[in-house]
Formats: sequence, C-alpha cells, structure tokens
Amino acid sequence: MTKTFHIYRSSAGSGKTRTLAKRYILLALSKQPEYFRFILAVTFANKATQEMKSRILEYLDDFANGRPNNLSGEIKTELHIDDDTLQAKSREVLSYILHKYSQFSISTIDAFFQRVIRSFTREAGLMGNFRLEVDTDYVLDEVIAALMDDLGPERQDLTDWVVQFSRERLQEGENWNVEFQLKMFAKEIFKEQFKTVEDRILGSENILEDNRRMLDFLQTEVNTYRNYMRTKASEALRILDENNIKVSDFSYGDIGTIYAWFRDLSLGKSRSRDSKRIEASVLGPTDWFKKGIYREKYLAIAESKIMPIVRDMVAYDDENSIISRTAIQVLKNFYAFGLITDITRKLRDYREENNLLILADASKFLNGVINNSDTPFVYEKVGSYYRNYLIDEFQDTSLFQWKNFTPLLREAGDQNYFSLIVGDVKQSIYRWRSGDLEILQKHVVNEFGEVRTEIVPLDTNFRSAGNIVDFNNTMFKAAAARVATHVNDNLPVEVFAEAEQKKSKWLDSGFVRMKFFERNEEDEGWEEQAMRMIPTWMEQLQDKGAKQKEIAIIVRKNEEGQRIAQYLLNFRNTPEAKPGYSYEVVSNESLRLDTSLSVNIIISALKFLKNTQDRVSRGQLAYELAGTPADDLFIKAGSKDRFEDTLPPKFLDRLKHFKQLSLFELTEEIIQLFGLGEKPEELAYLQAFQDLILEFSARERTDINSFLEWWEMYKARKSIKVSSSIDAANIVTIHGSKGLQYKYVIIPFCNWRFGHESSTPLMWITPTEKPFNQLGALALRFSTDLKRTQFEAAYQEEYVKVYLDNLNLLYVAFTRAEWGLIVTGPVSNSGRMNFVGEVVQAVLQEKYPFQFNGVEFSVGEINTMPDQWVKTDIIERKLDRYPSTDWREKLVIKREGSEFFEDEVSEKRSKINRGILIHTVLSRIEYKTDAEEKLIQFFLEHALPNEDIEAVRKDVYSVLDHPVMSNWFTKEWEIKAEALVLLPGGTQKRIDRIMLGKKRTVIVDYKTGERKSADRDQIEVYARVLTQMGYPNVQAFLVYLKDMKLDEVISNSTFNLFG
Amino acid sequence: MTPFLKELAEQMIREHPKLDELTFVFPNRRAALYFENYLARALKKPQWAPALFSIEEFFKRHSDLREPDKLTLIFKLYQVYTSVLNNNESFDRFYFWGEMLLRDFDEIDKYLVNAPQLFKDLSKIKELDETFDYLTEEQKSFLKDFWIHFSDKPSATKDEFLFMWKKLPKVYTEFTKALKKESLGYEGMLHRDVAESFSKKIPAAVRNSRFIFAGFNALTKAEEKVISILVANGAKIYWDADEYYVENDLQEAGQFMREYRKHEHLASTFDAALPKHFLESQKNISLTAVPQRIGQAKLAGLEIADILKTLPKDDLPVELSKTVIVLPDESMLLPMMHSLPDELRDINVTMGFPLRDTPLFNLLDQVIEMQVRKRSASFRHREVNAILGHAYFLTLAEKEAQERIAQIVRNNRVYVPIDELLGDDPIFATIFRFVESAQATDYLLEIVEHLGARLTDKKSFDREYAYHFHQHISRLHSIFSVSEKAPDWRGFQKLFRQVMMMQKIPFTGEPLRGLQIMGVLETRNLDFDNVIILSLNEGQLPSPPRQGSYVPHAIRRAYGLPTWQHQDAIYAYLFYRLLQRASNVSFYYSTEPDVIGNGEMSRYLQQVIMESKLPMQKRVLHNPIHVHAIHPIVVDKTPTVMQVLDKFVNETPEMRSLSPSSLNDYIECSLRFYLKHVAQMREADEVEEDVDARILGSILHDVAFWLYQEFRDTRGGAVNPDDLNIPDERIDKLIDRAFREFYHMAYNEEIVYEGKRIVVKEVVRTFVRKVLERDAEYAPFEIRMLEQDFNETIDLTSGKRVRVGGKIDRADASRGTVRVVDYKTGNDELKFDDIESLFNGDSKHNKAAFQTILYAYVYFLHNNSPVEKIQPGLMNRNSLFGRDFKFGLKAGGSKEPMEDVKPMLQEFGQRLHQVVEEIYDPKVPFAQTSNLKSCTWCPYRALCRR
Ligand code: SF4
Repeated sequence: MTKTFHIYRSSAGSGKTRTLAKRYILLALSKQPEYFRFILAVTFANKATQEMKSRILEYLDDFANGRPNNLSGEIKTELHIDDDTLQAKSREVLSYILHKYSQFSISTIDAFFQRVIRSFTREAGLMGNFRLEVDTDYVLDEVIAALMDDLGPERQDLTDWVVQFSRERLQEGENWNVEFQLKMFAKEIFKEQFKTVEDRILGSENILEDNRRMLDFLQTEVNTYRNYMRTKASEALRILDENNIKVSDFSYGDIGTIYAWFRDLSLGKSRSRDSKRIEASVLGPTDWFKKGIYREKYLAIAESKIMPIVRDMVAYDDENSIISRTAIQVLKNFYAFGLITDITRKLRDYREENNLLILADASKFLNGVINNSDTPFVYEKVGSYYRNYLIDEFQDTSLFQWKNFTPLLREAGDQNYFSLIVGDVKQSIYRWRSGDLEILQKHVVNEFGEVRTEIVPLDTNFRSAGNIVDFNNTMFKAAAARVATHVNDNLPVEVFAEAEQKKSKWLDSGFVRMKFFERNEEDEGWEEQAMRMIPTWMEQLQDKGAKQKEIAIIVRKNEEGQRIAQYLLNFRNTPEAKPGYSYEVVSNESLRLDTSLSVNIIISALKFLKNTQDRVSRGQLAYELAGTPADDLFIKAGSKDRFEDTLPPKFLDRLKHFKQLSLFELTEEIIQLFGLGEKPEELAYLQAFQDLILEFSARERTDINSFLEWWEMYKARKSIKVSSSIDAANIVTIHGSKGLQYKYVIIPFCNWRFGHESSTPLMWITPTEKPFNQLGALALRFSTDLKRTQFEAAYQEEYVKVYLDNLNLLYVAFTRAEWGLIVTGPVSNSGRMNFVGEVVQAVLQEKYPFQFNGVEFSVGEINTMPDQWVKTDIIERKLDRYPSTDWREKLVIKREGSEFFEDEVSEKRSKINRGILIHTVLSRIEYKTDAEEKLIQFFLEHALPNEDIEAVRKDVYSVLDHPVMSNWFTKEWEIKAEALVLLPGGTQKRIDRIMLGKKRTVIVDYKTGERKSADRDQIEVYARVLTQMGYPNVQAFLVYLKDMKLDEVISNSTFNLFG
Repeated sequence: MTPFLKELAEQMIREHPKLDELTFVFPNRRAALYFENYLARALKKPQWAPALFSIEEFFKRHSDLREPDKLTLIFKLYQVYTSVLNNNESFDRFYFWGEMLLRDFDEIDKYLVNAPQLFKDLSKIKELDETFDYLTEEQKSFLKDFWIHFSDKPSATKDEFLFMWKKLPKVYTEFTKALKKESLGYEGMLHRDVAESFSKKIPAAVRNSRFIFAGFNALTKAEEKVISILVANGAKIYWDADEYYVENDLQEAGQFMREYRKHEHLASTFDAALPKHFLESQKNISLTAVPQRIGQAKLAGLEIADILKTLPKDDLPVELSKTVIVLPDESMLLPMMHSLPDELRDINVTMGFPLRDTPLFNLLDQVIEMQVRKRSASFRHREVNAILGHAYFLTLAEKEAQERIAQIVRNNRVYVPIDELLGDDPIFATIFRFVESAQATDYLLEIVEHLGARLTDKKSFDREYAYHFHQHISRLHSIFSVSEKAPDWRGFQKLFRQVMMMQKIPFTGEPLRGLQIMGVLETRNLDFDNVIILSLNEGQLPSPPRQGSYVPHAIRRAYGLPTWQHQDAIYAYLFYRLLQRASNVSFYYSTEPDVIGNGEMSRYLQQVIMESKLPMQKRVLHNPIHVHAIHPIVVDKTPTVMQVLDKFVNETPEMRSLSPSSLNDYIECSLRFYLKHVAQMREADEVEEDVDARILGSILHDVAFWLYQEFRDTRGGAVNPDDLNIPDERIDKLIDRAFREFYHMAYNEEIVYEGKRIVVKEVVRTFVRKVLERDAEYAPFEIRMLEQDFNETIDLTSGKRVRVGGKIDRADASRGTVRVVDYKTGNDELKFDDIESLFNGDSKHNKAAFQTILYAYVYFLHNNSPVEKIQPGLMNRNSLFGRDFKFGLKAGGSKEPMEDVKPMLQEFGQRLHQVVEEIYDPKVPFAQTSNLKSCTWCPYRALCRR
C-alpha cells in the first residue's frame, strides 16, 4: 500500500510554510493545469492564509519568469523536469490560479467551515445573511440578563433554584449577586469540552428537578460525613476539656495539630488530615503534648479515652472522605451547572432573534451535518470537491475540527489521493481555545493506520543561527525531562522527543544572553531591573549595527507589553536616554485607542449626547477640549447652570442635529467640529477608531447607547494596528509571535507561572465511579482540592497539560530568534518548579556549569546578522490631513416627500395627483384610434382606484373631443410623442407632442399647473429649435389641463421666426 | 482616451443622418443617459433623439407582464409555498428563504430552463436512458455526479433535501401561474415571455426598427435569444471589448465575448481586430495598501483635493465628471462623502443614502423594540427613554419629554406603566400605546404620518425619510392585510429590519456633472480619465458568492444556470473595462483581514500586477504613531475653589457637611473628592435596572430600622431575646413597604416580584433573619440610637468651622459595652492596621472601619460614660454568616475583635482634624492618587487615563 497520508512533524523554523508551499506546487504542477482546484490547504490564522497564498504565487511567478529561487531545484528534481518545462508549466498553472481564483482553496479552518455552513443555512434554521459573532462576552451579558428576567411565578423551578443559589452564596459569605458567577460559568458553554458532553447534559427533560434531587444527594453526602466527624471531634474536645487539657498543653498549640483538627471538625468544617503532624498524631498520642508535669497523665487519658475516638474517626475518614470531598467539589459549581440548560436555551433564542452564528458553535454544528450525511453529498452541495488536503498547524486542531476532517481525509485516502498534515506538538499553545495536541501526537496515526501513514520529520532549523539552535536543543530536552519528572508523567518528554534540530547556516554564530536579578540595594524588584536593562540591550545591539525594528520584545501577557511600552516611552525623555539611539517600540496591543485624546473627546461627547445630565462626561469633554483644569473648569462643568460655559457654543447649538445622525456620521461631525483631524499625532488613532465604528455599524443595533455599552466592554482590547514598516522594536505576546521570527529577541519577564491562561478552566468530567456515576457529566473547576477526590486522575491529567502548555510557550518564545536571544528574569535556586524561569535556571546549572554563574549566562558574541536586505519599492504615505467635511452642504437627497405630507395625509393617500396621470397618458396617445388601448395599458400599469380611472378617462376624452384639439388626433398628422430633441452642446429638450404636417408644424405642451409666464418662454424655445431643424411654419400651443384651456403661443400667421 | 460611448456616438452621427430612426438598447439606463449626452455634444445642429432603452425597459416594453416589488413577490411566493407544502411557517422566517427561491426561479427563467425537468428527482433512477434524450452527455454526467450520492446510504440531510426538492416543481408552476393570472411577473418571467414570443414572431413594430445594442457583456439565455433574433433581423451590436482579455483564453473578463465570437448569430457582430487600449493607452497606476477602511476614504479624499487643484475653474463640473470614485463596498459611501474636500461642490452619487442611517429608522426600531419587550401594561424604560430622548421628541415636545424622563428616573421605573406616559402633545398618544402585532403596520403608518405632517422644517430631510418609510411600510401593510396570520412582534421586527436595512434614498445630482461616486455595477459602459477604486479586496471585488441557492452546483452546471464562475467573470469584465481607457488609476485595498479572512488583495489586482507588467507605483499608508504620555491632573485651590469648599463650613447658606464617604474619598484620592464632592461632577441619575447592591442596602436598612424602631419607641429601647422571634410575614410586609418606598409606589399598590427583585427580596430576608438571630444571641440589650443623624463641627486654625455629618445605623448597649453598628451588604473587611492606616489612602485603607470608628467617635463626643466601652463594628455578610460570629472591628492583625475603641479615639480625632485642615489648606492642591487600585471603580478613570 502506498503511503498517501503524510504527517510532517515540524519544529520551530523548520520551513513549514515552505514545505507546504512546495507540496502544493508539486501537486499543482504534476497534473493538468487546473488540478489545483482539487487541493485544499488549511491554515490556522488569516495571516498564515495570506502568507501561504502569496508564497505559492511568488514561487510560481519566479518559475514562470525564469527567475532563480531556492525551490526550483527541488521541484525540478522531484518532478523530473527541466527548466523550460518548469517555466512553461508554472506559467500555465499561475495563470489558471489567478483566473480561477475562487478555486484557489487556501483558507483557515473557520473560513472553510463557514463556507460549508453557508450552503446549509436552510437546514440550520439560519437566515442566510446571518452575522458571524466572534465575541461572546456581550452575548453572554444579554443572555444572563434575559435569564434573570425570567424569574417569577411562571418559572417557579428556575426561581427557586436561583434564589437558593443566591442564599447559599450569601451564607458562604460570598457575593449573593449570582450573575457574575453565572457569566463566568457560561463562558464554558462555548468551549469544545462542553460541546462534547452537551447533548448528555441537555438531554434530560426536567433537568432542574433532576438537579434538585442531585443537590440533596450531594448535600447529604457532605453532611453525613461532617456530622459524624463533628460529633466525634466534639466528644474528643469534651474529654480534653473535662480533664482540663488545654490548647497550650499541645506541642505547637493549634498549628497543624490534632487539636486544631478536632476543633475545626467540631465547628463543622471539612478538614482533612492535611499536615504531617496530624498524620503522625492519629497513630498515637506520644508526640501530642509539651513536656511538663502532667504529660504522663495526659498521655494516659489520650491513650485510653481519646485514641478510640480517633481510630473511629480515621477509619470513617479513610472510608468516606473521598466521597465527601468529591461531593464538596461537585457542589462548588453545581448551582451554576444546574442552570446550564436554561442558559443554553436563552442563548439559542438570542442567536435567533439577532440572526447570529456564534463562531464557537460552527464546528459542532458542522459535525451534525457531516455526521448524518456522507461527505461527498455535503461537498457536492458546497460546489467544491477536494482530493488533496494539506493541513497546517495541526497541533492546534480541536476535536470537533478533527472529526469534521476525518471523513474527508478518509475519503481522499480511500481513493489513493495524497494528503498531508503538518504540525508541531511543541508549539501547541492554544489549548484554551480547544486545541488538542494529542490529536497530532496519537489520534491521527490511530485513525489511518501505520500502513497508510508516513511520518516525516522536518528536523532542520532554517531560521536560527547555530548557537541558538544548539542552545535550544539542549535547553528543551533537559527542560522537558525535568518537567516530566516533576509532574510524574512522561508526556512532556514524548512531546519534546523530536526537539533536537539540525543546523543549516551560520553554524557557529548567533548569541544567547541571560541575566537573572535579585532585589537590589535600591530595593528594586527583578521586574524593574529587567525593564531597565531593555534600553541597554537596545544600545548594545544598535552599536553593532542592528536596526531597532529587527528587535522583538516578547512577553507573556498584554499588560506586560503595555508596561514596557510605557516605560520606554518615559525613558526616551530622561537624561539616561543616549542621543543617537532609538528606543522606539510598537505593539499591536499596547497602543490602546482609549489612550488617545481624540478618541476620548469623541467618547465623552457621545456620552454627553446620550445624557446631557451626565456631569462626569460633561466634565471630561470640557477638560479634554481645554487640556487643563484651570479656570475652575470642573466646578463649572459640575454646576447646573454654568456648564455651558465650558463647552463650545457651536457644539451645544448642534445637539439636536447630532442626535439625528447615525453613529458613523456623528463621529465624523464631531471630528470636524472639534478639528480633531488637525493633530497629526492623533490620526492613526482616529482612523482606527472610525474603522471600529464602521465595523460596529454593520450590527443589528447601532444606536449610541449600544455602542457605548459595547465600547465599555471591549475598549481594553482595541488598539491601533501597527504596520511592520516602521523602525521600532516590536512588542509581542508569545501567542502573537507564533509563526513569526525576529533577528533579535528580548524576553524580559521570563518567569511566568506554570498555570492556566487566565482563569482556571472548568473541566467536564463524566464520573465513572459510584455514587457519582449517576450524575452524567459534571463541571469541576481545576484546583488542588481535586486531589484525593474521585477525580484525582482528571486533575492529574490537567496538571500535566498545564505544565506542558507553559513549556510549549517557552519553546515558542525561545525559538523566535534568528540571531540573538536575550532573556531576563529573577534569580532562583530554590529547586522549585512553579515558574518557567526556575526550570530554565535549573537546566543552565545542569548543562552549562561553566557558562552560567547563577546570575549571568552567555553563549556567542553579540554581533549582527549578515544582511539579507530585500529591496522594496514601496513608498510610505501618510495622511497629511484628515479630511472630514459635511456632505450635506454639497448634496441633498431627492425631495419627494414634502408634497406628500402637505395636505391632510389620509386624504393624500387616496388622492393622487391626477393632473400628472393625465399628462402622462396624453403624451402617449398619438391618434384617437389608439387612445383606448393606451388607456387600458396605462391603467394596468398604475393600479388605480376606479374613481380615478373614470376621472382620467373623462379628462382624456375631453381633450380628444375638444373642438380645436380633436383635429390633432387624426391621421392627418405625423406625430412625435414625448419627443426628445438633442441640442448641440449637450442639452436636450423633451416636447410633449409635435405634429408634423405637410405644411405646418405644431408643438403642444401639456401643463398641469397654473399659468406661468415661463411656460411661454419655454415653448418659444421649442419652436425656435424646430425651426432651426428645418420644420416649416411652426405653431405652438399650451394646453392647461386644469381647466382645459388652450393658449396659442406662436401662430405662424402672426409670428415669423427668424424673419 | 475617448470614452466608448462617445466614440459610439460620434460614429452614429457620422453613419446615420437621421438618428431618430434608430433604437438603442444599453445594459442600463445610465449608459443610455451618457450616450444621449455624448450624441448631443457631438451634434452641429438640433436633431431628434433616437429611441434609447435599457435592456430592462426593452423587456418591459415587449412583455404584457408587470413586475411588482420584491416584497410583494416574496409574499405571493410565500402564499403558494405554504399551500403547496401545507405548512405554516411564519412569513418572517420564510422571507430569507423566499428571497433565495425567488432568485433561483428568476435564473431558471432567464436561462430558459425547463423548471419541472430541472427539479426532477433522479435519486431513484439508475440510468439516464432514452427518456432523458433532451440531455447532452455532459449534462448527464453532471447530473450523475450529483444524484449518485443518493444511491448509497440515506441520511437525514439528504432526506431533507429531497423532500423540498420534490415540492419545488409544484411551487414553481403554481407560483408562476398565480402571477400570470394577475399579469404579473418577476424579471425572469418577463425575459422568458419576450424570448418566447419573439421566437414565434417578431412584433411588427420591432421588425421595422433598426436596433443597436451596445455595451453588453454577459447575456442571459433569454437576452441572447432575443438579441440573436434581432441580429438576424438586421440589428447591430457594438461591443466594448479589449484584446487584452478577449484574446487570452484564461482571462475570465473575456469569457463571454469569446463565447459570442463563436456564436452562430452573434459572431458576425465582432470586428476582426479588437482595440488594444488596455495595454497601449498611457496610464499612471498607483496602488495603496491601507490598514482597514477609513484610511482609504481619507486618502481618496486627499487625492480628489489634488485633482481639484489641477482643474480649470471655468467648467469645473464637466471637468470633474471625468473623475470617478468606485466603491465596491457600499458601507464606504458615507466615509467617502465625509472625506471629500470642502471646496468641492459638484458631486453626483449614484448610490443611495441608507435608510437605516436615518433618525426615523432609529425611532421606529426603538418603537418596535418597545412593543417587543412590553409587559402587560408597561414598557421597558430603556426603549421609553431612548424614544423620549429622540431628536424628534425634542423637536416636538421637548419640555414634556424631559419631564417624563425625569419622572421615570425619580420613580426608578424599570417598566413604565402606559398611563405614566401620557402627554399633552399628541405624539405621546401616537407612540405610547399598547398595540397588538396584527396592527403593527397601522401603528407605524400612523406614527410616520404624524411625524411627516408635523416635521415641517424645510431644510431638513425629515419629510423625505417619512415619505420613504411610508412607502415601504405601506407595502408591508398591504401584504399583512391579506395575510391570515400576522407575525408576532419579534417576527415583525425581523421582517422590518430585513426590508428596511436594504433600502436607500436616492440623492439628487446631475448625472453628467461633477465628481462621480458609484458602485461597481453602475460604471458599466462608462469611461473616466481618473479612476479611483477603493476596497480592492477579495470579498468586495469580486463580491462574495451570492447568498445561497437551493439548486446544487452540479445541477446548475448541467442546466447552464450561472455559477459563481459566471459572477467572477462579470466582475472581472467590469474591472478591466473600467481601466482600459483610463489615464490615471488609483487602487486602494485593505491589509487587515477580518475574522473570516476577507482582507486579501483582490485577485484582479494580483492579475494586473503579475500579468500586465504595467508600471505601477506601490504605496502603503502609514501614519506616524504617537504613544500618549499621561498628563497628571492637578487642581489648585483657587479662590473659587475655596469658595465652593465653604459649603461644608458652618453658617454658610448651603449647610452641607462632609460625610464619612466623602472623607474616605479624600483619603483615597483627593482629586476624586474634589470632582465628586466639590465640583459635583456626578453621573446622571438613571433608572437602576440592576437591582444592585445599593438597592439591597437601602432596603435592608429600612427593614432593620422599622423592626427596631418599635422597641425604641414603645419601651425605651429594651430588647429581649424573645422579642426577636419575629414572624416571616411581618418581615415580608416590611420588605414590601421598603420596596414601595424605593420605587415611589402608593402604599396600597401591589408590588410584583419579578426578575432579580425576587432574588433581592430573598436575600434581604435571609439577611434580616440572620441579624435577628445574631441579636437574639446577644440580647438582652438596649437600643440607644437608630438611623441617627449627627453633625459635628471641626474648628480649623483659619477660624472656619467645618461640618462633618452622617447617620449612625444603630448603637446598642449591653453589659457595659456600647456597640456602634453599621450594616454592610458588600464585602467590607473587619480588619484594619491602626488609626494611621485609616487616614492613609494606600491599598490597606479600610473604608468601613474609618466610617464606623468615626461614628464611635461621634458617639463618644456626646455620650462619654467612663464606665462604658465603645465597640464599633459591622454586620456584614462575612461576619454574620461566618461560623462564629463575633461583633467588632479587628485591629492590628488580631484575630479577636477590639473590645473598646476609646483609647484610639484621641488619635482618631487629631487625624480627622488634620485631614480637614488639609482639605482647607489652600497650598495643598487636589491631585491624583498614586495607588492605582483606588482607580479600579472610580467614575473618573477615563478622565485620568487610569
Ligand atoms: S481615577 Fe484614580 S486618580 Fe483619577 S480621580 Fe479616580 S481615584 Fe483619583
């Protein structure tokens, strides 16, 4: 069997994109030129999609034009073709791709799934123009609020549950307001872990009732245990008391002693034998008491009277504590858990009402479609059919995504088509977004079988200089081993088994610097010191010729990036900043929009417009505009009658006008009014903010209130997007740096905790052991309290993964560097393993005893990377102004309504301007003989009420039968109706009716209004034109339809044109 | 370069002395208009104009069918659909699906496809045998490709598909039949109608006209047929083609032309050699990459300003008309319009102003939402407030509207009863009334008519808005008047939004004068010297594949229905054609992908870059980025500030006092104190929808007060354990009363507990019960104070006497200890370090401790009994519900409560004095705190950039 299914195990810098592009090109070039349409390449992020597309196109463009590049050799060899063939083929394929671009299928997983879903909208109960919602926070707010609104007699079960939930929280001394708690909990329902158990949980009909029963059961479990222990412990305390034995008689008093154990248990607390001291004490009283005269006596009492109780307690505890502890853990989230059905239901309503598809739901939904249908049908409906699949970043694939792909891949495999997945388990850092590295690590091969599968390691590093490759090889092998030992699980070692990479270039170049800080004499913490080092690193690099923009500062969290950005910003203006050096930094995240003056002006103006009584925004607006609190500005702003002094009158005068504008236009007018576009340093912000508004304006609700609510929720995440062309060091998070590379990398805060991404997640567990196995799936929050419960295994599994996540993050961060890697953190020699910095230093100590002195570590010389400068012909352009003007002064919308509402409206609705109708129909009638036909046609076109039909007909005939005019409608004349005359110079005239006789020419203009002198002027012009055209004896008539009067304006007998 | 239509016009004048003998047909009206103008301009003397039609007008003219608006069509389809399927899907749900079906039917007719054949269910048929003779082998293979999947395992998705598929022939037949009966038809029906009648017999009038078709590219089958017939009858066709894309088989832009060049009738209409404008005419091309969208509009605005400078001033409008801005992304219209140079006056916009951006849409949308969310006899305050605050209300009845808003806030009406929304102005009665969804359109029409009649400002567009809404709502109205089942308000809302979101109001403007702003389709046949195209991204140009079709791709191909390839080719032609004669071309595209990956450069740009080899200037928009420094806010104590501060000084008219919380504010952040308490810069009162902590606190205080008031009033404050056995009903009654007072309700009004109020009620009850329980444990005791107001003065060195005042929740005495009790519902702590820490605004500052010790201090000043201890403390949720309740604050890290605060009070007094001295020290300005934690919940965060 040919191995048609390839798994490429890539490592950092192993040329993954290039490999994929190469595979794509090989496939595309090896068959007929249109073959590319059978290939689907899937990437993880939008940026990667674009990069992949342009790489392929560029390669092909090079080949097609005979330009040398680094891939052509390999392609020729593999396809056994010569230069000319390559050139010809490439040209052909490139053309095909460019012109059948819709079939150039390279997309993200999400985009691909979206496409499929779009063709199943009817089946999905979605309306086709649904909006894709990515942010779920806002949605959840609405959903939870709607749920709370439901409380009341109609939902007694729900009400009872929520009330009890609140009361319980109150009694635990926690915030009784359960909404926040519910919101946190509800976030989980967007995660895949939940989706996998969703059906099981939501299946039950009477879920709240079931849950109530369960709750009783759990509470009983806990209480039985507590009561037993309390009774026994109280008994023990009573005996001690009776015998006058006091806390002070115990060695160590009540700190971790058996006394403390008794006491806590007697108060009804759940306390396990959680200290060594207690564990020892329950075996016998020998070490219970302090030395003293009564010690012997106490020992006797303890042995005879208390130890029997203790033995009972230990026996009971051993048997029951796991269950009770488990029950306690289950109870922790049980109230919120109980509401999950209701939340889900509300969410569904919300989605429907707003016609949304929540991105997180997409793969589950698709799973439903694919599951009960065979794939070919699905893709037939989509209209594209693939043979080869090339999937990138597979380590971040989620279970559902995998399930959605499996049938496709299997189908392709069955037909012997080649497919390929690429991934690096070491770079799996999206577990919090349901990425599951085990799919790549294990499931794939299991699914397709080893016979079909070929595993190809991509083990050469094309990115980094030799010294860095060597260092990372050493570092991660050792670090993985240490982590594995620490968590007592071999997974980290397996994941990093292929971490070792071959070097490709600059074998002995590149450098690594590490520096670890202790609190110094000035009492500065390590973070301050690390931050203060950054300018020094920059100077050193620039001394060697590095450009500032070649440096990246990689951080774990956004906030850290913002701190560094602020620090460097301030640093620039201190005397320490050395002239001639650049300390510029940029980051996608650190330049928040809400730091901008202009944005603040707009936002406070919007708030003020929303409620002019809001003195906070009033004051803010006044302050932002004035730039100083001087002149008692705030006092005026806060006062009832003087606040107007603080705001420009031109603004206050226009409030009513502003309130009429749409959100977007409103921001434009505010920008214009306050001249915000005149500050060059603000333009980037203004632009980004307006883009945001424009995007928001595509939503269902776009009023000011909705926007402000939304802004409050998301402003912290909105920043300027930075273009890479600017000469400044990039501050990026590790997640943001994934897939990217930088010449010099500084990781200032290399000491994040081996912990979860943000808050600790819920784990969805399906208990298998009694008595909890009757519970179906359960939600448990990860915490050490899960140890010594029935869920210890799940705890352990998660524990290992958390460590692995962070080790992976470290790997991603360290492998971004091409030439230089600089790392700082706190000194640690505790031997603990709570922070990544501790592992790094432990490895340094072990592997680099000579280069590492406990504080500093260094490999290689600091120098600069050989230039690989590519010429760019792109010119930078900036906005030198920010035009913002009022179009209403230039352009108006078409006026049709004024007249409509002029008279009493009800009357208006039935009475249509009859004059116009008659005018229209008369202009169409050429001869009396065709009048009836034209009338009927006309009535058909304008569904008129009967009375109008009659009236129009009557009026029309009074013209046709008019003593003078009746002659006009005879065959004696050649008629031009609604005739258009073109006049030199570009204008034209439309004349209602022209009658051409042998000797005479008659012009008729029908008029619906009152007599105006302009009527005559106009028709005289007509007459002149006709004469100019060579018509003989032009006569002209005005017909006033209102009273059926005929005015002869020009008579050939009396008026001789042009003499 | 000479525009195509101009070239044509000049040729026509040369070749045809009598233009009025000709009949021209163009793809759209605009082309006809331009052509007419070019003709006139080329003439030496007046001439009769030829007949000019758009192709749609042509079809209309020759068909007996009339085309109703889309809404009517969809509704008629809905009626047929529900009766054929015998289901009762609601119209709002059907709407989108109906649009899709209508589109499918329309195409079927335009492409002259036999619908019953197309909709044939072939799932059971093994072989496409002789009965399928009408199919070519290619067609058969497409069909097989599709239907083969039905031969293997069945599935729900397939069943669903088939179920509908089998109904469609009937839906189609009945639908078209029903329309024809009324002489109605959608566009496709008109096309088919004309094509069929022309193939039978060309009408005499047509036979004798000399037809000229110009500027066509993609023809539907019906168009192809009709034009072929006329060509055979002597009609001429002028194509606007360029060698560049026609001669290259891969250029999709030339796809149709290449087909027609081989067409049996149309082939003869092509010239042997095609023009080569695209490559040979001189062009300046620039290409600008912009992050996102607004920047494109702004840059284009600047570009227009530059162009404007170069133009001669005397015939500006005509000169300007040689420049076009093309907006593939409709939502760029307003950004673009706002970015045009001030001095530019002459503009012509072919796109419309979106109805959804009008204030009237906003109002009606709120009104509908209000009806959706109404409860029995009341409306939700959110919508009511938005409506009352709407610009129209302010125009018509500002004073009354403001009064209502104030009243709603005052009474904290989460739901506002309708009878509180009456007003003298008739607008109140028009809008605020209870309406069933069946009357939705009557209701909205009345509102629109009311506003239309009353908004008389001639300068504003309000009447225009009203007019357009009137038109659209009337249409909905006529539909619902014949429909048996009205949708509910939710459904109506969806439908309303669906219909209105798409609508545009046309701008006035002279088509041939001034700067032209157009959508892509409108540029058809027109040529401009300066072409500026924005949003050249995939997903915009070509626009994304149209939204769905029920006819699967393979079947579409089998029957020659257009596929996405067709659409791509159409857009490609539009794109290339617009460039071929232009001299200056500016492309703009966005570099930022959206969520789903649109944001890639348009394929057409890629093609031009990689294939044409035309020189091109590449630019990228990059604005210098400025990181904002933070400017500290410091407020000096100017004479005015000092004067305002004097409101807390005795004997000034205001007689205000410094409250414990204002002092806490001062201690934490003096700027906040200043802003909140001196400058009174507070947030507006709003209806508290969230029954939040504040309400809970207020209700708890009231209930506790009333419970103990009785003891104070009837027996000198003595409380015994038994007294505290208070029945639930009594507590409940008091809770009701507290709620009523909070919401300003009449004493006999029944309060409805719904939503979160229920929770609050329960929480209060639990709280009160717990307080009683704890008190019973503590009893007997004597109540000394309940909700006691106090006011102290502090004498400053300046001679000012400053008032400090507040309210003591409760003081009670038992066994030689006086407890000063404060109820707290939040998460306040009992611990504090020492007195100094209470006056230090760092993170350890305990506000509740400061407050209760201040109370104790005040108590001490008035009741200094040497034998009694004073114990300040909180009854808060932590301590009350804790396992072992011990009353009292805990000082200096002790686990046990402090028994007597008296020894600390002297220091407290001194420090209090110092703080107040500092507040009045003119040399100490108000400044921001350095403790960022204090800012977390501060209302001035945005101001301070914290
Ligand atoms: S945000 Fe911070 S600094 Fe500003 S007023 Fe509030 S507490 Fe003071």
